[in-house]
Amino acid sequence: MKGSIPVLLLAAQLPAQIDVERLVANLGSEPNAEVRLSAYRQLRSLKSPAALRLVVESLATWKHHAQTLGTQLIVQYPIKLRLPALRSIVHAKGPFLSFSGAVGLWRAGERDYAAEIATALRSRDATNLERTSMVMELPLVRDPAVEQAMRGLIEPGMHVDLLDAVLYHMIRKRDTKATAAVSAVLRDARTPILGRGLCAAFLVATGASDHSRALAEVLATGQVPFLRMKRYLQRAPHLDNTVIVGLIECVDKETLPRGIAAALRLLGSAGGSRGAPTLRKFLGHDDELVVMTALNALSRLAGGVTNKQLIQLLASDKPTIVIKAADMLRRRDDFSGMSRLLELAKDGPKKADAVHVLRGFRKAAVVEPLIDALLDPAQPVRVQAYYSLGIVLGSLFPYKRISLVSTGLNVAGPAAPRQRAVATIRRWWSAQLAKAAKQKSP
Amino acid sequence: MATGFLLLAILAAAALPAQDHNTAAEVTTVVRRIGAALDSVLPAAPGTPARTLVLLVDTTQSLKNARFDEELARALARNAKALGPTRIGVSHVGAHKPLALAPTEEHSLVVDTVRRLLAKPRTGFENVYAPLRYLAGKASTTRGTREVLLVSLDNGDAEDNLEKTVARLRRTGTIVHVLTSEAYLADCYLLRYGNWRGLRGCKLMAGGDAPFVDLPWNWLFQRVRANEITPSGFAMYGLSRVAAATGGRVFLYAAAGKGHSCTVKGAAGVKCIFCTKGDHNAQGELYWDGRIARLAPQTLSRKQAFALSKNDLYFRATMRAWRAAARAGLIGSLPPSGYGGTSRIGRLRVITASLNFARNAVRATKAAAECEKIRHALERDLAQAKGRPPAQPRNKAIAELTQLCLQLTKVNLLAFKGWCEDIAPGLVRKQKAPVMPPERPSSSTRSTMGIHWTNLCLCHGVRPFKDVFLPGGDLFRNELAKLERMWTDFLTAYEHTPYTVALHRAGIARFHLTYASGATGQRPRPKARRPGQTVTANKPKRPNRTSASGGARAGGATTGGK
Repeated sequence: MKGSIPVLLLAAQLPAQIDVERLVANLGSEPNAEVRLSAYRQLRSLKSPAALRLVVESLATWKHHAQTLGTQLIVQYPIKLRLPALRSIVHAKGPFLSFSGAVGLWRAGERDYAAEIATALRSRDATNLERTSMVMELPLVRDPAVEQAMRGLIEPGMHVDLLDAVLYHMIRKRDTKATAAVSAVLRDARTPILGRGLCAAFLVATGASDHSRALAEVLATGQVPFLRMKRYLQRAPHLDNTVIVGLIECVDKETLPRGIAAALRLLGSAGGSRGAPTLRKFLGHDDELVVMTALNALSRLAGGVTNKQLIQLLASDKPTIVIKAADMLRRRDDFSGMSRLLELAKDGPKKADAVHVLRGFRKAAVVEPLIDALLDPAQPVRVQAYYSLGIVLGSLFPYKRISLVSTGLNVAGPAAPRQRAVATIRRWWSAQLAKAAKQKSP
Repeated sequence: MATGFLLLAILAAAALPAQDHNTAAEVTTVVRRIGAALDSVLPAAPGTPARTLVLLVDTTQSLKNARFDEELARALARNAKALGPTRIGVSHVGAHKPLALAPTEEHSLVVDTVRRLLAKPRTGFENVYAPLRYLAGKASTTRGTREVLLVSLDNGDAEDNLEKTVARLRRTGTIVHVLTSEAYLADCYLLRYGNWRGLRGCKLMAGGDAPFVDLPWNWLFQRVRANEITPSGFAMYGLSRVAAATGGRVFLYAAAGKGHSCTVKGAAGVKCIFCTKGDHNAQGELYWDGRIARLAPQTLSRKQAFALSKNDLYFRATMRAWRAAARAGLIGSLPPSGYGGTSRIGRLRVITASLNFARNAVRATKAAAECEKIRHALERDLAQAKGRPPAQPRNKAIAELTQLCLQLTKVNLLAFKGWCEDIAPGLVRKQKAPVMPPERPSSSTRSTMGIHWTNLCLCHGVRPFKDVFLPGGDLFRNELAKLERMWTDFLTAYEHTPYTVALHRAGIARFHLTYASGATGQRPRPKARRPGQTVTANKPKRPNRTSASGGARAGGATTGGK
């Protein structure tokens, strides 16, 4: 009888144990990324000591992507379980595991492990992929020796992804100590065009304007996706005319809408009036994101976009663009977009947005459509109409105290009382119009 | 002996070359970076055998914030070759012995000296003209071209003897360049709050960019005095005068403008009813160089400038209307009179003191009629002047703006009449009239104390007010329509100039009652001074003022929006 209790307990634990083994196996060797991630999430929520032991035992045999997940899982464990596990992987086979273990321990307060981190970074055994992953983990570690080791990675002929990771880490930290090494990589004939672009963008972002020409040349080729260089260029304190010219050529050659939008955003903020003609050109682009970005950028430039151009955009078949153009015109005291906006507020996929923008039009003509919108079947439209009507009536009647709630209106409530409240508002509005008309007639 | 001195003085005056530039536009350049101004001033002209440049630095906090020392270091490095034989000295404003560094070819010392001076920025009013005279005296001992770069972002209005300074600088052949910030349009601020003491023998001169306050200010029912917040596009008159008279240049420095804001910060009682989160993009407030150059103020001496204006029909028409409006209490200021005379504060008509609404309505009607009479007279004067070129286009702009302000005052008086007849009686009635929801009745049961008014700002123009339900009936609406027509005509000629910004700062008055113990209208009781407490005002400090827009020639909307 005495021996039966552990047996029963073992039997109860058995399915869970099997489950953990299966999950760890999935984490380590499943080729399908979805399954791998699902296993990771489950193990993270279980935080089973058995799983930790299994992961630590098998980590060295896994591929790099599985090792990344495994080390991430380890650091999720409570500190008592985590520290021994990390210590055991520091001395495991492979620089990446050694690095991950050392980073975990460094973050737990064991600063002596900085030397291990630096050694792992310098290790010749690490693949480019592993080194790139290591550098991407570095924002978690602030140590001069580690930073020095990372700068040491910059050498002509290095892999472009690793170069990108190192440069991005340095620009985020505003680290300009390795500019000479980066310049050497830029000059090296073996460096591919993407690498040259990254180096030049990094150097310009650090304020070294003498590399503007190199950057402009790379941009002008259109062979480097702008999204790869965006994060450097948007940190640059100043972009000189050469770069702006290169950027304009790059926008013309870029094919990806997100890339075009990012380049236009930069052109608007850094290019000033020099970028305005290019921005205007993209107002007629097919992609909505591109048009909206160009519009937003132009709206920040003095004389960037004329009222005439905005009025042309009112004819667009994309409601978002029409709404934006109408709003921009309204801000310039031009109400040409009101009629289109009223159409969109009545019907269409962007009703709520149109009703929202209508609040800027403090005119008697928008009151009736806003009252109608209070009865819209879609609640977001009703909510926008409620706020917009309150604002518009508040402006139109500076000598009156107005509260839509006093009519019993509840935009989220049942339909019948809402209809009664709206009827009251409508009656009141008609009475005000009649009163005003009476005053006007002699 | 006396005759001999007189003869010498006449000969000396005759020896001075005539002033080349008579308006501020001819000498002013707008710079967005201090470095750009330094790049213009530092290089020596080709073939200059010897040159002395003294940096006269007014070490204020704003100059420190602009990082002048860093900009100077960079500019010196950039222009190392172009400086040629230039010896640079450093002098500072407000010191007994202004020369902090004698002119030297060791340019690194210049930056060190400026940095040391900026370490302890000075606050308060400073007379920048006294050190200029001192430097002019010193200049006679130096060889070659003599130039001074006066760097003062805050001062220029505290004057002791401007014309004496100009004469001495011209006699010694000293060229003065100025790096400064933008002044306000015919600034009247110092006339309203000019009671500062301890200015050590100098006087605060109002007028902003102009030799004297030539734009009527303090209109009835206007919370904001546009003269005090409208960026003029030019420097302080005294500084422009010194630069123009000595053949120098004025560099107006302002970082990128913040853009237009409908409600001026600190201007209590001004509200914009047409803005959503202040997103107004007032395109007309972006100054156009061509337009503002035409309307630039004079850089002649005050006496000469007044004499020039005095014979101008537009100026005389404005002064006549201003005087009549002041007499009628429609404006709380008096026009400038005599050579070098300046405007003074006047008394506004007391129209909102009584709670007898019927009587108030009658008073408002009478005042509106007077206003109309003055406006008609001004219109007649301007019709007579039509076809004759004004001595200064600025005078014509001011005359037309005055006409518009008179019409606006009339509109406000009629709005007050309408409020007294239509709205106010209902507010004080014990039995409140029932109202239909969503309207809510006035809930105050407290005893009424007085009448207060605020402004609904006109930065969106007059047209949007046509849709607003304002009291006053047909009469008010007709006058509003007239105002709109005048407004449109005015903007056709003066959009993209400071006069548009000045107009935008005006407002339609909105009236309401104040209550005995309410939050509005109660005058704060002054606190009794504690025993032993003393008021110390040895060195007056410059008060903060918020501009109606971003910065030098920014107008409101340099950035075109937000």
